[in-house]
Parts: sequence; C-alpha cells; structure tokens
Amino acid sequence: MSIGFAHKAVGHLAQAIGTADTTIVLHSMEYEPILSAQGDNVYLLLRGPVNRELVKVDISGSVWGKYLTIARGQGETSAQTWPIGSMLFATTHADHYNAIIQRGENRIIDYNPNEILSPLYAGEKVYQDSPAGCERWWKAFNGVDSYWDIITGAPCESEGYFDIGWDYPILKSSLSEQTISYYWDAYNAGAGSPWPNNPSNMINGSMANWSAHQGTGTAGDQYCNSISLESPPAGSPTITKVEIRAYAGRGQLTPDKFALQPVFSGGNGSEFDLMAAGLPAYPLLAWSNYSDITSDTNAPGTWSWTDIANLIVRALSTWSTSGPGDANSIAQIDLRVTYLG
Amino acid sequence: MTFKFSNNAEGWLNSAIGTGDTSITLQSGNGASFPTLAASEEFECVITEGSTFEWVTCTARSGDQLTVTRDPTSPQSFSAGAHVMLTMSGNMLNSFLQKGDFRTMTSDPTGQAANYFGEEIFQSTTGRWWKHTTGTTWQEMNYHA
Repeated sequence: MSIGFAHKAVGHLAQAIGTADTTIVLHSMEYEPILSAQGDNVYLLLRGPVNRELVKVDISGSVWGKYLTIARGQGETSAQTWPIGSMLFATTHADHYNAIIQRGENRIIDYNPNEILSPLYAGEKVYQDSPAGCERWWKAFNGVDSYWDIITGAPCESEGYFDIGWDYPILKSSLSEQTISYYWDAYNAGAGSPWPNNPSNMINGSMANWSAHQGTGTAGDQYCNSISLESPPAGSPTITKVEIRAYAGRGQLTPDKFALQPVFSGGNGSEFDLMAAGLPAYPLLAWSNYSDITSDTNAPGTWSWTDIANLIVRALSTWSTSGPGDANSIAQIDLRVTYLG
Repeated sequence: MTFKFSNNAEGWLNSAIGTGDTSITLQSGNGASFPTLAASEEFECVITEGSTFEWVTCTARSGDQLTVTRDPTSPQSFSAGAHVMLTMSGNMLNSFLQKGDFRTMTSDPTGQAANYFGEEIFQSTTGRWWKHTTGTTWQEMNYHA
C-alpha cells in the first residue's frame, strides 16, 4: 500500500460529524486535489481552536463530489466532534517519513546474504564489507525472499551460482547457518522476586526438577543472569538469530501472567507469553515453542557474543486466584543462537 | 545515521536545564510520544520557552529521559515546563534521496569523497554507474556476471 500526498489540499466540512462518523462531505470543488493524489491514502488534519484530529482518506472508497471515506483518530489523535465549516488541511504522517529512504541509510553485513538475510523492503541495498576481496553491494529482489542480486563487485572464492527457478541464477553463499544452544545456569537472588519454590531448579541444567510459583502472594520475577556459554564458537562468527524457550508447565488454573522477558543492556525486551506457547498443564512439562528475540525492543542492532553472554531473562508469574492447580513451573530456559559457520 | 519520526511527539521539561546539559528529563509519560531509537538513529526537536528556542538533536531516549546534542553556537537555558517538540528540520528533509537526485561526473570517481555512504554517481563519458563503498573507494555497478 502506498501513501499519497495531496498538493495544496484544503477543505471545509459541509456537514457536522460526530466521533463515530466514517464519511465526510466537503464543498464540491474541494475533492479534486484530495482524490487526484497519488497513492491509496491521504492524510488530512482537522484543526480547531483547541482540538486536532488526523484522519486518513481511503481514496478508492471515496466518491468524487459526494463524500470521502475516512479512518478517524490517526497518528496518536482521537476522534472528535466537528461542526460544519471545520477546516481540513492535507498533511503528513510519521509513517510517511519513516518509509522514505535516507541518504547513507544502508545495512552493512559481513557475509553473502543469499538464503540468510531477510530484506526489510523490496529493492533494499546492503553493503558487504568483508571478508577481504568480497566487499560489494547487494540488492533484494523483493521484500520477502532472502535472495539478493550482486550489483557491484564479483563472486568470491568458493561461491557459485544456483538456480531457484527465476530468470537469473543466484550467487550462493559459501557459509551456512549453524545453531548452538545454551541454558541459563544462575540467577540473581538479590534482583526481582525469585520464585518461592526451588528457585535453583530452573537453572541447574536438569529437566527432571523444576521451580514453581503459585498463589496470590508476591509475583514471581526471577532474574536468570548467566548462561552456560564457556566461549563462543571459533572466530566469533556472525549471529543471525537469537531465540529463547522454556521447558515448563502452566497452571491448571489460569494465571494473570506466565512469561519470559529478555533484559538487554539497553532495557527490557518484550514479554514472551508462555500461556500461548503450547505448554501442557502442571504437573506435565514440555518445551514451549521458540520466541525470536533477535530484533526485539531494546535488542542489539547487531548481536555480538558478548551480548549473548550478558543476556538476562526474567521468569515472570502472577496469580490473582489460588487453589488446586495454581502453579506455574519452569525446569529450564534455553537460548538458541543461529550463526554463520 | 538515520532520522526517526513519530506523530504528535511533544513534552515538557520536568526540571530546568542549563546551556551545557546534554540529558533532559520530560514530565512523566511524555517520552512515550517520541520515537524509540536504536544505535545510529536520532531525531531533532525544538525546545521553546516564551520567545527563547533552541534546536537540539536527540541521540538516545530511555523512557522520559532524552540524550541530546545541544546547539553548538547558541545553547539556551530553559525552566521546568519548557515545551519540547519533535519538529521537521531542514536536516531531516535534506536526508531524503529524491528521484533523479545523483551527481554526474565525466571521470571515474575513484579517489573522490562521497557525499554519503552508498552514494551513486553516473559517469557520463562512459555511461557507467558507480557506487560508493568506503572512504574514497567506489565500485562499478554491473549487470549479471
């Protein structure tokens, strides 16, 4: 979907609107600059002495000279009541600017991106700055497939072309993705609120015993702060994905919260809801699915093995009900790192 | 470096700042309307109090606390309650690459400084396109090998 810009578009409401209205009527001559804009949507700002409201015009759903179909309360504004005669101005939205490519705004990688790197948008260009002799630019074919076309430079040693059924063969990477898994093996007894029942069992490397949190007392908030990483793989290879999961069981009753939350050097990440992770009810335990935290809120832009070693995860459990079956349990929390080797 | 944008981003200083302060704290909850920044991302905003104003560049945000680069020539002091607003600047608009916006040269650009990382230049005498890599190094944009 593309965003359009209406040039010098100004309008006036020919009818008053309430907060629930999704069409507006303008004076007849005021439709042309709005509906002739390029793109699928145009943003208009309703501006009064005090209030402001940003609305989005659906060009395809509007009828020239009769009404505009609009989405109300856009861009952190809320729907307001507007009297007849209220003025509208064509304006821009933060999404416009965040979608524009800025000079010098390109990702830099250190590997052949084919079958490894997902593009951020169709036609994205990325620069490969190593290994020596392989410095070159790549361009994504589309915004979905991890296939890239070399647009400067030349193939490097051990690279060859392979056919994926498109018009052009793809320059294959000489590296492949490998994975290695760790588990959290220590927790900080002085941080948060360690789980009351056997807090060491979720970090002892055994899936035969577990930590538990139950009841309506203090919420469980255990900071696991060390992983079983003695040293990174040889050469500290490039990290492409970081995931977490738990060997755990949920309560038979429904807790208010049962989640994992990574803590990065820049702040907390998103909560990984274990209630939605396919776990059985206690006393059964099983592996949850993996949660990809590579690009999580506050995650490193480029992961290093130091980031891996320093990664903290919080085990969160909260109950507002109590009784038989009010127990969440975790036996182990895993960290899976995908890298190029 | 990439500029980030958000809608209706504004707040008010929680405490006064002097001309040398590079950390400013907004009133509780105000920070959420400003963009979340990763490394090498920033936004520009203007602080106003009466007729006094100053453009600052925010390079990091943690909740309501902004890390800013002050105006190098005319930093101002502001009282608690001064208004802070993300505002479009010439720097932000000039960072956008426009259609047909490229330099044309009559010679190979090797050894020439780039205007920005990844700049593309057309060599009119040979019909070649060049793309900046690092420093003063350029690579020819080729078709398929």
